[in-house]
Amino acid sequence: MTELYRRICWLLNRRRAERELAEEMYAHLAESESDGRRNPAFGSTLRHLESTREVWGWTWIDRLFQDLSYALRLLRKSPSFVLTALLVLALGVGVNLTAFRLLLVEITPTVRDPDTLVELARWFPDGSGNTIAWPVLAFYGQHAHSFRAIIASHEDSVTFGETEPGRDPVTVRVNFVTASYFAEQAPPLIRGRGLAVFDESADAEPAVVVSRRFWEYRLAASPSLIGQTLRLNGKLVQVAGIMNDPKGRREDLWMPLAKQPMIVEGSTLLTDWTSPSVFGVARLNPGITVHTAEEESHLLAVALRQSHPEAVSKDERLGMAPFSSNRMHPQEIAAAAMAVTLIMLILVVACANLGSLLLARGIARDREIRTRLALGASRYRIVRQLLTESTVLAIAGSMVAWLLSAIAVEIFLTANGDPKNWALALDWRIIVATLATALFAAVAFGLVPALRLTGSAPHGGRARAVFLACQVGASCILLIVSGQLVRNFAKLLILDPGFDYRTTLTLSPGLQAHGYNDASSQYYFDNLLRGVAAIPGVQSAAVTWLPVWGNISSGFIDAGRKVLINRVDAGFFSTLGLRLTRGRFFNSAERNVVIVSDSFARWHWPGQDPLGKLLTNVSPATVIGVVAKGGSFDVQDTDAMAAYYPILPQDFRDASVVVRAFRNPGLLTAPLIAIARTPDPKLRPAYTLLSTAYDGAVDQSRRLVSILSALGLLATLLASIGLAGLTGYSVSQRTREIGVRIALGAPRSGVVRAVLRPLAAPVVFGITLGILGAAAVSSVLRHNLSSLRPSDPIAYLTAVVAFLVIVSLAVCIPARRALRIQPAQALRHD
Amino acid sequence: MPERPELVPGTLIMLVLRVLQTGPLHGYAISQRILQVSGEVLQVEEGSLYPALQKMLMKGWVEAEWGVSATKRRVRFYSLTPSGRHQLTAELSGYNNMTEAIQAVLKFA
Repeated sequence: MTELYRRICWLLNRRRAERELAEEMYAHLAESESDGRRNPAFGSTLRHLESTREVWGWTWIDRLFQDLSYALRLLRKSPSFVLTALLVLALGVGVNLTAFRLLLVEITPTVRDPDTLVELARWFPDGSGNTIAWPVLAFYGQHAHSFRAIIASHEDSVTFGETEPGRDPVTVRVNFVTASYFAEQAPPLIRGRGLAVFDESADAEPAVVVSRRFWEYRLAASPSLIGQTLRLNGKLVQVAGIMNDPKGRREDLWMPLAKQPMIVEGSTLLTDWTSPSVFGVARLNPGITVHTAEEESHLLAVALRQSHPEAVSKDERLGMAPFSSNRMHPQEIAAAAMAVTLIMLILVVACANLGSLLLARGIARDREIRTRLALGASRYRIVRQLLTESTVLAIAGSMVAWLLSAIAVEIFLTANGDPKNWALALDWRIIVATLATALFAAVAFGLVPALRLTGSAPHGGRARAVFLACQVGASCILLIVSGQLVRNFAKLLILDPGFDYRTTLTLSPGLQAHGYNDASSQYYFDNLLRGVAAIPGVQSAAVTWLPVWGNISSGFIDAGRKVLINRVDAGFFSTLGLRLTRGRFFNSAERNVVIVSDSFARWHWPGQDPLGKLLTNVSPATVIGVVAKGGSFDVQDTDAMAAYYPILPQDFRDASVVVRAFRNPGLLTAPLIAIARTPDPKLRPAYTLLSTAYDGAVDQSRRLVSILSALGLLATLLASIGLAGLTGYSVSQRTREIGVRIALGAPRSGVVRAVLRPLAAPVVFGITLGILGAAAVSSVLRHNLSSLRPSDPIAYLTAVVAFLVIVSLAVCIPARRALRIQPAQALRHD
Repeated sequence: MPERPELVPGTLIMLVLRVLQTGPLHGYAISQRILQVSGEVLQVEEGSLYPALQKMLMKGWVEAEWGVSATKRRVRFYSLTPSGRHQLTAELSGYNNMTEAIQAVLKFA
């Protein structure tokens, strides 16, 4: 340790130390001369100084600086090469860094200690439900020893601000939560305070916490918001704090669950033991396993059944799953890994590209390298010198990439509506990843050329072919896979849900939240339909249990595939305009019948006539009709397997109306809301224009498509740069040969063939590799994206042809140069 | 000029340490002392003396201090440190063991 200390001291005082040493050695010389003992062996003092300096073991720093300054000098001399290399590297590394950053944003947990947080669900012997009645959840929370805290949340749409007559109210989403939400689960606050237990007491002023998004978009980021009042559903509430948006959720406001009945008038949420309406999350006590907690909940449910037999069914208990909003599902992880692999391919292309460029450049530097070897430089020393050059390039390129990706991530996050995350750019994982990628790239594209160029064998040919095949192969994989995905999503862009969504809207009065029962709900809807039909401009209206495009999960599993269900009234099909391929629609008040989608009919009764068959998955029902498409469930899936049942009396509490307008449905919203509120001014109906929902879904896909296409094109661009550069070098290298060919009367086609022939084998090999690789990647992708077609020859063909065309164009430029070579000049070329 | 015998490898540091045991000396004086004591046999070249001295400085076996030589030149005097004395003892005993062993082989083989 002290030795190291002395060595560092020496390094720090190195100039003085060397000066003193020189002085000492000259004094030695002078002494021995005055002694008359001129030492013949005294040789060069400089050489002695050099070897004495080596004792301290720092000479590698000198060499490094020599290498660096030499590398910089050389790179400064060839700016076009440096620019190409930086561009290629910045793109190759930048894409990787961007992906890595987005992945980090995705996986960074926002919840403290997520391992002891579990999501609660009710499990019964024959199914499960993910919402719980508040009194039941409170009962578990009070009596279970496994839980340190329970967190309940319930979302409602409420109107925000003063609503003037004749104007549409702004609907915002309020998450009614227990105070424990802020202690256990909430993201960090920006200002003010979170909700606390005292906010839940009956005489507390109603307090609200505002999301960052809401603060910025609706309240113009007002700096003095805390303590001001907002009007929700006409009630005044006081702002307590501003909070970051929870990841992956779109909530505007948070209020105490205890104040929900105050905002949503007539709500029985807090007292109704039978309607499951809140989401429950629990914080387990230290050392408690999920199993123990589930067992305990089973015992508690039995006890609860004694006092409230209507609240829990027999053998009911709580099921617990890890808190999910912070974790990626295994499927998502697989998809992310896939994306990372594809994106890594870009880096492979970039490295192979630079490798071949370096080789080509190295051949031009052959004379320099041979001279240095002849002057006694060791091969190791020259390889090190060449690697230093690549490292300098790689680090510079990665720095540009780092900057580019920081910008890209911000653009992406902003486009996605997520909060900015500049701090991420300085995250140590990003720095490490940048440096690691830079070093990996430097070795990947620098080592092989360095070894080939200093080797004694005649160099370059095979290594270049391998580099070439690598980049062609990787680019092809990317182009084919992205082409497939683009085609897949392009289908969505022109998707046809099987009905005209442009003049349709849905209106949800939210009866359940306002304490309606089955009978009063049905009565309400009967009146509403009559009133809506009387509005001028309304073509027809119908009642549906689940709103259009509002169901991606309710249903049953049939032979391993999910079948979505909905319950609708007789007018639903004609209002939406769903096309019937066989059979008939419901008659009013018909029971025990079902209408299935064509895809489900083909799945369940392949090759048979489904009409008259009995479907027993939910409750026994006879198939009376088949609709062409199940496109009313999930906007992303136009051909869902689906079954429609007649609406049941208990469905009306949650039901919505579907309204088809003759022309512009936007004009109907105000009269519709007015009619929906006429029987009960407490209600705050929410509407959705289906065209808006559709555009939102398509917009997301459009963004994905553009990203994917950009990746594929980027890879192709990189490969073209590489091929063009390579051809250019080979033309300039073979100038004399080509000149001789032209002088001897070779036809133009012969010259071009001679120039391009060495490319042929690697390109063909690379494309084959690419097709095989793409097939492998697609088979994995299909596993995750079930809508991807098994094999898409058009995507393969288009990709390969597109690749060839782009590459041919790129290679044209140097090939033309070959044709313009003047034989007389060429022969003078050295 | 008669051929001088080469210094036995690895002994230079030991010799320098031993010479310094009697008191601080500067570089030239060290080589002169070794030359005189060895009866003009062991000539220490500057090209090996100074690297050895630097190594000893690095190891902390000697300390250096500027002073003035008998010929009024500014020179650096080297003196043993406690750890240098330790090192000398260790090297001496190692060397003695080695020579005894070699002698034994030469005599009795």
